[in-house]
Amino acid sequence: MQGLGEMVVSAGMAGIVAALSGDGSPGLQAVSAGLCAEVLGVSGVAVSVLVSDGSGEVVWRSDGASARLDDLQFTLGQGPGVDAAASGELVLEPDLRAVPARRWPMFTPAALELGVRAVFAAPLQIGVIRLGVLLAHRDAPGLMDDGVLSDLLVFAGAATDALLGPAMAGSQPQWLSGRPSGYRAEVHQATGMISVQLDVTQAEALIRMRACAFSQRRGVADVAADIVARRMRFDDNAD
Amino acid sequence: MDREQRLADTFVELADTLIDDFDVIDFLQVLAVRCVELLEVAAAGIMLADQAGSLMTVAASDERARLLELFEIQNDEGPCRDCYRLGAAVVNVDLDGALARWPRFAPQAITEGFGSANALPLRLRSQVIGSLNLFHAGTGGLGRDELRMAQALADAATIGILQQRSIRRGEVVAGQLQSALTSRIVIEQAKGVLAERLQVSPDDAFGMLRAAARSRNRLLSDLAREVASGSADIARLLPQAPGQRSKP
Repeated sequence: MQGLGEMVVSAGMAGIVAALSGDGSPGLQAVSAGLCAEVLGVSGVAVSVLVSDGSGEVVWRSDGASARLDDLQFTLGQGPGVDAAASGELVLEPDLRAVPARRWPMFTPAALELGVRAVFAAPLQIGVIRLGVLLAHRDAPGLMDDGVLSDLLVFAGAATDALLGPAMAGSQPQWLSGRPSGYRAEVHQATGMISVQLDVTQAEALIRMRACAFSQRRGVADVAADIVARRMRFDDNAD
Repeated sequence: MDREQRLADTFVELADTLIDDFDVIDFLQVLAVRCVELLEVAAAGIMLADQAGSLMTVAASDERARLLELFEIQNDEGPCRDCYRLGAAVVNVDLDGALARWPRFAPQAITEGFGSANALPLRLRSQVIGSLNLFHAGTGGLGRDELRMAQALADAATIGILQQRSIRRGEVVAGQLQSALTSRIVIEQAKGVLAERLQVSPDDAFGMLRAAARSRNRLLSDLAREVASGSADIARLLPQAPGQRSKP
């Protein structure tokens, strides 16, 4: 076998992710969407947050003629972002002209009209918790090569973390244990348990657990361990 | 039955699974159990790397929390991490002699009763997407033939990951990996829901979830998703479950 096994993130994307996961978790606004698009070799990128009725709201995007593209999908209720949000899977369409008309009957012609030829969408999710969608588009057709796709997915992970809000202050856990997309099994189990204790969604359960960890200045993994071991519950001592 | 026959049976079983609509986590779990039986190891687990290079456990020969924890430590150090980083098998490492190499992993593995460890790469062309972890109770371990078998089983795991049903419209490896990792997280969330609802341990919850999927001929991940998102009727799904409580 040749070379090293690990997948490679480009230096450009490593810089963006570092800025996103820097001190105090500055959020998506800390990084330039234009720069991100450049690193991904696309014409534009956007992040939409999913709201309860299943539609999305663009919270971060690059400038450009096709800014309307992102809103368009949720207005029309069709398009790669809508599909990625519904299925939780990657949607990669390297050439909109080759997409069957019945797939997105209104979106495809509208996007082509805006000069868009290729669209890529990645769900921003942690298990069943679906927070948003990352959209990228290009004005020229063509696949993303493996390295770029790796970058896209790494960015999707970092954007997911950013959407969840500030990470732990106080105790300085290892970089990974503070990264929601890198949480260990126990954290997900605890999320499930809290969702039953409080009768809330998994998303809200995770947010409550993170808030609790934050207020107690502990790592999320620590709090999760207490929940799974039933040393702590969320219904009687709600914070 | 001799080992060659059992190995052949295992590959027939795995191939049979792959031609149907199958659940990737369930497939990998069966594979981990078969590794234990065929290679006469004490435990087996499969870890996959996400795009950021973190290793995550997707299946294990059993779901004991302490065993899962031992796999998880390897995100930082241990045979799986080394295997992934080097892109090569890590074979028959005596844990007593590895205390300096893996200061966190080795002592805990020894506490769990293991004497030696192996990690075989899940290979895809020049890329390594994860690793198959095998633990022996004693020292020593895999011989030449067993190593070849172990690598063949690791390759079968890779094929299973690449064959999952979301492979459509030119779906890419990165998407397949992500899909398997997401499925596993959904299962963990569902384990939590069942553990709390039924007041059982998460590993018992996994067994119940798996049994329910089998008896209803459903995919484990689909059922887990329904349980975790609250759309499954748990009382109907697991009518014999003990200690049911109403929602608080």
